[in-house]
Formats: sequence, structure tokens, C-alpha cells
Amino acid sequence: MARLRLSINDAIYEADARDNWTLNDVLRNVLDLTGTKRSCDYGGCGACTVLMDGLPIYSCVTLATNAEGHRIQTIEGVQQQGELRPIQRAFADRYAAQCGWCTPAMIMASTALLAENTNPSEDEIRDALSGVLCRCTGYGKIILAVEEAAREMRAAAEKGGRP
Amino acid sequence: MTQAPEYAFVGQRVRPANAVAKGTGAHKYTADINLPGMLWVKVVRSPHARARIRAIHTEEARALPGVAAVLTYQDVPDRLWGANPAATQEGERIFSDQVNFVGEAVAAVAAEDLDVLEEAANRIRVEYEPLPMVLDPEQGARPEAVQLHAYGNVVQGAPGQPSGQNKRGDVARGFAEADVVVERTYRQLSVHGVPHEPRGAVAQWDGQRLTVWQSTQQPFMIRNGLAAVLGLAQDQVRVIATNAGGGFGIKNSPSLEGAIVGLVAMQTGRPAKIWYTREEETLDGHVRPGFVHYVKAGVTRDGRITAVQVRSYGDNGYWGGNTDGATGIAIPRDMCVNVMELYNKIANVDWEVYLVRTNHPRAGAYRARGTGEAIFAIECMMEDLASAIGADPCELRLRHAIRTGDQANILKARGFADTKPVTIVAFPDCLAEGQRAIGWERRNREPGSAAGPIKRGIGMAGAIHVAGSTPSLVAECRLTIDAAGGIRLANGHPDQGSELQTTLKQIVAETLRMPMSAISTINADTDECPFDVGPISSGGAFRTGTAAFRATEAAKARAISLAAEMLDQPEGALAIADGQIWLEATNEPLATLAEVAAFAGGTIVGEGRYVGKDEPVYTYGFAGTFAEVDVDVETGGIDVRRLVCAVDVGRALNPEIVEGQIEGGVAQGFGTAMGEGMHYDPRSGATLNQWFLDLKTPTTKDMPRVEAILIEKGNEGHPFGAKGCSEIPLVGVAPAIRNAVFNATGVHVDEIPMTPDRVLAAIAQEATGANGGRAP
Repeated sequence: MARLRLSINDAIYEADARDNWTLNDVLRNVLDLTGTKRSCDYGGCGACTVLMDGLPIYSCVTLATNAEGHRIQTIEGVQQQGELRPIQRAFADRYAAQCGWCTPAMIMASTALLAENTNPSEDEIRDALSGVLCRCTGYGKIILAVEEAAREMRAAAEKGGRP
Repeated sequence: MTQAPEYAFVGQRVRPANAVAKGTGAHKYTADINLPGMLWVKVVRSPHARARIRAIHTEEARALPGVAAVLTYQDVPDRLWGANPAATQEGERIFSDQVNFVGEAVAAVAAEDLDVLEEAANRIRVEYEPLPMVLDPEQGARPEAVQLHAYGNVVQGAPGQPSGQNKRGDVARGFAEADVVVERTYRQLSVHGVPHEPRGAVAQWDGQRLTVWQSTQQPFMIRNGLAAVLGLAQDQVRVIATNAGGGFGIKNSPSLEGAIVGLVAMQTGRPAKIWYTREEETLDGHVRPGFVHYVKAGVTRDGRITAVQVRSYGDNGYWGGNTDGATGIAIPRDMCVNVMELYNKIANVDWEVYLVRTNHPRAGAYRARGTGEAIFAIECMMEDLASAIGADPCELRLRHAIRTGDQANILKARGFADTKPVTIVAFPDCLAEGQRAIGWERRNREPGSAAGPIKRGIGMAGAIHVAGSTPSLVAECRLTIDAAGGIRLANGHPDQGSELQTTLKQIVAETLRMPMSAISTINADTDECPFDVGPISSGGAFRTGTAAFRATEAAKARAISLAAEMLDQPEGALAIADGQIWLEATNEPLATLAEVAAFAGGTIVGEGRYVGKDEPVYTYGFAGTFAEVDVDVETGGIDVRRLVCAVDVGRALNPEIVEGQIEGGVAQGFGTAMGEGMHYDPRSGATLNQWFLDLKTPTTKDMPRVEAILIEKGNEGHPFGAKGCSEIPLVGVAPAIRNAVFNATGVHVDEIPMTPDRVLAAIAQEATGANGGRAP
């Protein structure tokens, strides 16, 4: 066991972990941050997606020790001051989450996309989300939700407010 | 029902109740439950498709520090899972001394942490004596085959008899009347539903009672099975299955993982958790059985289908995969009876279904059980009959289709003395709206006539499926109004993704004339909720929704009766709205519901039930699925450009949810059509594609946008006119794409999934004039 110091959602967490434990193991089993899911355990489905330094990664194939020194964001840190972000609101309103198992990963991947591009085309959305699989929705309402959130973010930016 | 009534809540696009929690990480699934002092449990699985266990050596595993328990067949109760193992020819134990498929559980270990667990599982040594196997259903159905079971290999079939059959009229006379007879063979692989949360369970034993959290669609069936297999009374077992990360029928199998952690908890006194890997979910969940269908059908030049003869052979695996053990009864019956209800004007039918026991993983329900196993063959057949006589495929279907008020023949096939009238059939509307949306007139008049290597075509398929209305199924709800003004609906229905709790709140709010924010629900907890068979057979909004309406009506009647006594008013003078009792004549509020509940001693309770066999009418759902494709005849690649699915939903209680269910169902149908399917090693019987990417479920880059069309003509079988609609969108997709490929190329691709190699093989085969058919 080694003591890890991890920056997760802008807070420092200390966790005792073995060298072979993945970031997903530590998030779920040590820190009880169970919003991050797993579905396949080998980088095949994307349900475990979190952001590392702003980019989507698969936490089930990332060793926890390799996450030290990086900025990790999980679904638990997406809300700000308890307020839903536009992407979360749009997912809820559009029924883009059915069983919800892929939803945290979809929202993390969408967050990374929208941080770079608040006016993505449908193809750009499909590219950005292609590493996260959904079994319930057929993706149509997920794409609508990302488009809706992007619109809301652009409108807020035009007003000079914070998205 | 021609003019739909106006409602305040029903029919609105209300935001799903659990949607926010799903998007913040707060929604808790079984896999997210971690209890203090909890042990982790892992199953050791068989590498053999059929073998007797000579010995299991567990000493080295038990000696490992941190190992809390080891269980083999020698340590588990000698009891069977299931309510009626004899009647259903099932008889599973938690572990036994024989294995019947690669991946079957043979032992379990429990340990303090996951690393010790892995090591302990590796230290268990099993000596197997391999036995002869059955890996091919058609060969397994022959009398000379190795017999796997005391009842034989053909599930439910007496010697020489099929598992299920549908015989009407006289096919010999029908074929004699035909101008054209078409014979083809249609094949479909076994398919896994791939719910994204692999199954898991957490158990806690307090010395008297066992609590099990489990990722299942059927908490009450699991409770009953757990009690049977563990030797407990049913009221000693509590099952909580509030949220599941997908189900699609795959999570209504016996799921012995709950029994395994239950045993560990009872032996050690500590909470225990198991959570399958994707490999385990694939192997020890269950699949829709794959089938080969030998079809022979006759038609006259003027478009009358004179006879349909089908022989279907399916892969049951060894164990049936349903909590009620009814796989072997339900799938064959629904295949040949339910599906032929759609074309009940075909006078002469002779269909035999052989569901054959093999040494493959379990077969069971997957979204549209029974229909999904058969409709590919029938909808391809309809296309091939239409093209044989130059008829419009939609017109040929409508000429033979079921109509409103026809009798439901399925009830006689299920052993009921009487049939019931079928409620409104909006199948013609599904086809008309689908034709309009896809641009039906643009299809090739002459299949395969387009020039160049990339050929465009349009095709369609019809569909029928139960829409919640099944005689054996029951749902109950209880509405409680308390003296603090709280209104709570208890129901036994897990949220596997259909957000039924939202729809139920809409129904209660509408019936009580209250804002939805005043209403809460509790669901899928066998201690807190009345019985519900769960989300199967498209019954959520239909069965549980009906029970919720009746529970609310019962609570209202009770409240009015109590208020009349309390206020000294005649009952007929009082009404309920906005949480108050009103004097109707003066529109004056007299008391709150909370005050009436206090007068009653604390609560007003209403109970409601849906019991399928007691309902006066029978509800079927219908759909028309239309596809537009480009086929590259040089590579065999199919580009599905558009998918339109028009579904007879009766009335959409929440259109956002109904659309989402249709889109998702179509996506799973697209997967079945284009890439999914289980591949087994023909020598060992081992599954070859148990890992996620090899299951080939569609990604954002594969899936076209689905155009969902809601056909809302009402349904007198439901208080708000709804029909269940979550399963039917799946089943028409594969035949619609196949028929579009035919329209584009003139080539019959008679096997799904329609991978490029199969498309190229079909093109080559038809170039040489070979025919895939065989006399049944």
C-alpha cells in the first residue's frame, strides 16, 4: 500500500492504494466517488471516463499512481455552487439519460468538447462522444442535449455572463 | 377513442424524476453500494461446456490470509431455484457437481479485498471429467443426439414433438391453391442485450432476515427464488432493486449471484458484495436464442397468401434464463402464435418451433421476447412473397393484417377457455405514416435496377408485440396520503431506464388533480412495496400505470367517504382537487386531505391492481419500421441512411420518454441487424466475443438519427389510453434494413447480422442462381 495524493474536483484527496489499482478502483472503492462507473474494465466502453487536465481519459485503464500530479475532474465536481451546468440540465430535459449508467461519462466527454468548442456540428459531437457507448438512447437525444447546452452557453457568453 | 381528452399532466413532456441524479453522479445503483466491513465475492467458472466435477481442491484458497469463505457444491443447500422447477423443466442449484456451459459458476470465494480475492480464486483447483456435448440445435433435436436432460433436448417437447406449434387451416390445400411458392431459410444469431451495469448484488444478514440489493428487473421473483434456494421464508428476505443500469430483459434471469452473496453473509455475519465483470455478465447473463427458420409460403397472383409453413430450430443453451423458468414455454409459443396474430387473415399455417437444449450459455428474454426470435423470418417472407408477385409490400401486409375487435388467439394457445377482443389496431396508421415519412414512392420499382456500385433502396417491416397485456402478469400499487399532507405511491417497479416513476407521478397527479411536486414514489423494495412482476412485456406504463390509477381512485373514494363523515356532507356533494375537499355546489374548500387523513387516524390508503387474466380486452402493440440504405456491392458495406419507426403507442403519457424508448429500441435493433450476435467455438462451445468491443453494440459513429413517429389512437384497455411500447421498436429494424438491401440490390441477405462478408456471400450466391431454401 502507498499513500497517494490526488487532485480531484479541485480538492486534495489522500488514498491508500496498491500499485496495480486503477484510478477507477480508487475513485469507486476507496474514495466512494461512485458517480464514475465501469462497464467493461479494459477501455472498451467509456463508462469510466473522467477528465485529466481537461481531457477525457478512461479511468479503468489508468493506474491511480499515474493520476498523481494531474488535475482530475469527475461527475461529482461538475455542478458549481450546487447549480446544474447547462449540459446537465439539457441531459435531464431531453431524456438523454435513460438508465443513466453512461451519463456521467457522456457529461464528462461533452464538458471537454464544450470547453473547446461551444458551437459544435453534429459530426463534431459524434466524434467527441464516440469513445463512450450508450445502450439505451440510440444517441439522438444525447446529441440534442449537447446542442441545446451549447446554445445556452453561447447565449450566456453573448450576455457576458458565465456559462 | 377519436377525440383525446385534455389532461394537465398526462401527455406532457415532464422532466424525468431521476434525470438530475443520473447527471450528477448521485443516482445509486447496486454496484455503488459499499457497506462497512463488507466482503468482496468472486465466482470461479467452468472452462468446459459439459463436464462432471470429480473434485474441487479449496485448501490453498482457504489458507490464504484475508479469505473469509469458500463455497462449492458441497457447501450449498441442496435446494432448487424457482417456483415450479418440475413444470418448467428447470432445476438450477447454486452450484452442482456438473457444469453445462463454459462460464457456469462452480465455486465462490469471499475475501477482505479485491487482490486477495483474485489470488484466492486462482488457488481453487477443479478436476473435471469432460462429457459429450451438444453445440448445434438442429443436431441436438435428433433422437440419436446425446441427451443432455432427463426430459430430452427439445425443451417442453414430448419425444418427437416441438416445443411450441401453431396449426390452423390446411397448408396442403393452401399450397395447392398457390400460384407461387417461395422457400427460403432465414438465420439469426443469439444476441446479448448488453445492459451497461454488469449484474451485481450486496447482501446483509442480521441473524433473522436477509437484505439483498440486486441489479434485477424483478425484485419479487428474486425474493421468492432466494427464499426457495436458501431455505428461508419469503418474509425473511428483502430485495431492493430501486435502480438498475439497464436491463432489457437480460436482468430477469435467476441471477444466482444474489444467492451466493446471501450465503456468504449468512455464514460470515458480514455484508458481502459481488459485481460481475463484463465477461461474466456476457457468459452468465443470458441471450436471446439464435434461430434458423425454414420457411415455405404460397401466394396467388392476385395477392392472397394461401399457406405458411415454418420449422424453427433455436439454441436454448442448457438453462433457461428467466426467473419464472418459463423460457421454454413462452418463447416457442409467442414466436409462432403471437407473431402470426399480426397476419391472422392467413388461413393456413403450420409452424413448429424446436427450442433445443445445448451446452451454450443460457437463453432467455431480451427486449420483445418471442417476437424478436421470429419476426425477422416472417417479415422477410412477406417481402419475398410481395416481390414474387410484384405486389406492394405494405398492401400485401395490410390485406392479411389483424383488425380492431378481432379475437386474441393467443389466449387459447395459453390454455384459457375464452379469447378476448383485441383493442384498437393502428397498424394501418403505422404503415401510412412510415410510408409518408420515408418517401415510399421513391423506392425502386425493380429491385436492384439502380446503376453503379453504390445502390440505394428503401424497405419496411411490420411488427406486433404484447403491449403490457398478458394474462399471467400482475402489478399492484398502494397510494398513501398522510396527516402531514404527504402523498406517496409505493410500487414494485425498478427504474431500469424507462423512468416509470415519472410517468406514475403524472398519472397520480392527473387523477388526484394535484401538482406533481406533491407526490413522491418508493419503488422496487419488497418490504415497502406491493407486488409487481417488474418491467417485462412492455408493462410499466400499462400494468403498473393502470394499478397506480386504480390505487389513486381507491384513495380518493376513501377520502371522500371519510370527509363526508367528518364534515357531515353527502359523498356526492364533495370533490377532490389541489389537496383539498371541495363542496362542489359552491366551489368552496372544506378541509385538506391532510386533515381528512388525521381524522382517519393518520393515513388514507388506496390499493389498485392490474391482473391480466381479469381484464376485459386484450391489447397488442404495432409498429411499422422503414429504412433507407446505400449498399456498396463491391465491398458488401451497408450504409443505413435513415430509420423511421412509427409505433402504435395508444397515447404517449410522456412523449419525451416514449420517443426515447422508441429511439433506443431501434438502436438495439440496428445492432442486431448490423453487427451484434454471439459467436461460439464450434469445437469447445466457448463464447468467443464476451468482451465489450466484440459485442459490437452501436457507437455514435454507427447510429443514424432515428425518426420516431408516435401514432396516438388511444386504447380502451388502459385508463389513459396507453399501450406499452418499449420493446416493439427493436424487432422491425433488421427485416426493414434487409428488405431495403433487397430493394437496392435485388439480393436476399437472409442472415443477421448483415456483415459485409455475408452481404458479399449473398451477392455471389444469387449470381450463381443458388437458393437458400429447403423444404421444411
